[in-house]
Amino acid sequence: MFPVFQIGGLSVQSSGLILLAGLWVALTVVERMSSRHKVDPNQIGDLTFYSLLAGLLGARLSYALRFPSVFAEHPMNLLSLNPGLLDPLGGVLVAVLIALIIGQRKNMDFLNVLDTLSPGFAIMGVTVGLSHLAGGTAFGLPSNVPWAIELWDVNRHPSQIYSMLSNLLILGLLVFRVSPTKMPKGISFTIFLGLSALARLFLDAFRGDDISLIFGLRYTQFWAWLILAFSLWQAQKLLFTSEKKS
Amino acid sequence: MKNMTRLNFIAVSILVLLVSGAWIYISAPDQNQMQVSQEAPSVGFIAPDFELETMQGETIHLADLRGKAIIINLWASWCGPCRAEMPAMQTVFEKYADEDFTILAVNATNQDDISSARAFASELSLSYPILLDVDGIVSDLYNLRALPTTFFINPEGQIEEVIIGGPMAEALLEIRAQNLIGMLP
Repeated sequence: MFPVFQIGGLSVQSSGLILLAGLWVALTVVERMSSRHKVDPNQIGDLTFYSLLAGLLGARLSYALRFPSVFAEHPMNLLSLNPGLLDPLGGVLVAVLIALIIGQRKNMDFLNVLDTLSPGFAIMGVTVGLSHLAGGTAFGLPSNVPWAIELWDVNRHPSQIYSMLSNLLILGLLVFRVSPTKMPKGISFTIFLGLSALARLFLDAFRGDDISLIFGLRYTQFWAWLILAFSLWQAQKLLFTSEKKS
Repeated sequence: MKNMTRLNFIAVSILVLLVSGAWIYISAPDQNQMQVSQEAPSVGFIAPDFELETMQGETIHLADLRGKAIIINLWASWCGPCRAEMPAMQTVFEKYADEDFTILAVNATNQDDISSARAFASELSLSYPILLDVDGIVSDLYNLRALPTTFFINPEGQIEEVIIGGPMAEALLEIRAQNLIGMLP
């Protein structure tokens, strides 16, 4: 665990730095692999850049809308660098909306764009796991398995490493096994979505940090199951409808 | 999918969903997993207990404040971001003075000059308790890696959030204070 490291007199939070580095790697990989999906790398670069920027602004505005009286009192805080004043869900929604608008204006195929971005999503999954490991967050349940790691004075499941490995496997599958020329459009993203949901559903059983329940079951597993069901339905639609067409 | 028919795919999908549904049920947490009793300086754990003297000589025991919403801020007088966020903390402290809410500003006295810390607190007329961590016990207990570091603790004594670095925006402090106060019984 190394939540903070020093560069001279400056304390840098490793989690944030890892996420930024991961984002850079993800965008680079996506741009380089875009030709596999016959997508212009400049177009995908513009789409990701403007979507991320809009997502950041959207996350701040969405957060401010949740607490209007506080921000009315401190309007300059809209420009604050504190990441704690961001609403991730609002940011994602705005980023997706902007991506859709840009994609439509540039006549980009929506499913093709999602396929192109899929390895980038998997790389971000690996990065998030690494940032959790660095910060000691998203920790596992206490365990005596031989590969347990000591975290917060207790031997625990290395849930962060499980998450990194599962995302690495998904990334490997998307890059080396899924051929865009032989598979229907949208299948790379559907595989990413389904396998990510399956991994989350399975691996969250070993997490000890956030145990929110719905009907006595883990909230995250419940949602992962629904996403898995949607992915399987979408996969059969994509695979078998396109086969019939050909 | 040359070798698989749509019907086979649907059958496999249903099997996957049934098995994964069973896994969710089997792996549902029991009551022991739900109860947090371990102390550690991270989100989800109970805030490590300590007892320190304030600048005025009063002794404060964290465990005695159980049931209150608490912000613990570790700081030093030489640390610019620590100094910058203190006025905002004073404002929030005054605003919610009538609630079961408090701010404990733990001065990392083992790496600070006590007279500078006193002078700074006096200059800003800080009225919330300023605790002196002379031996660095709280710095060790809370795994202090950078100043300032702030812990937001709910009335059950559990850490809700840790913010490393600063200065924190006024809005952030106020919203977090409101959230903690919202958890009061």
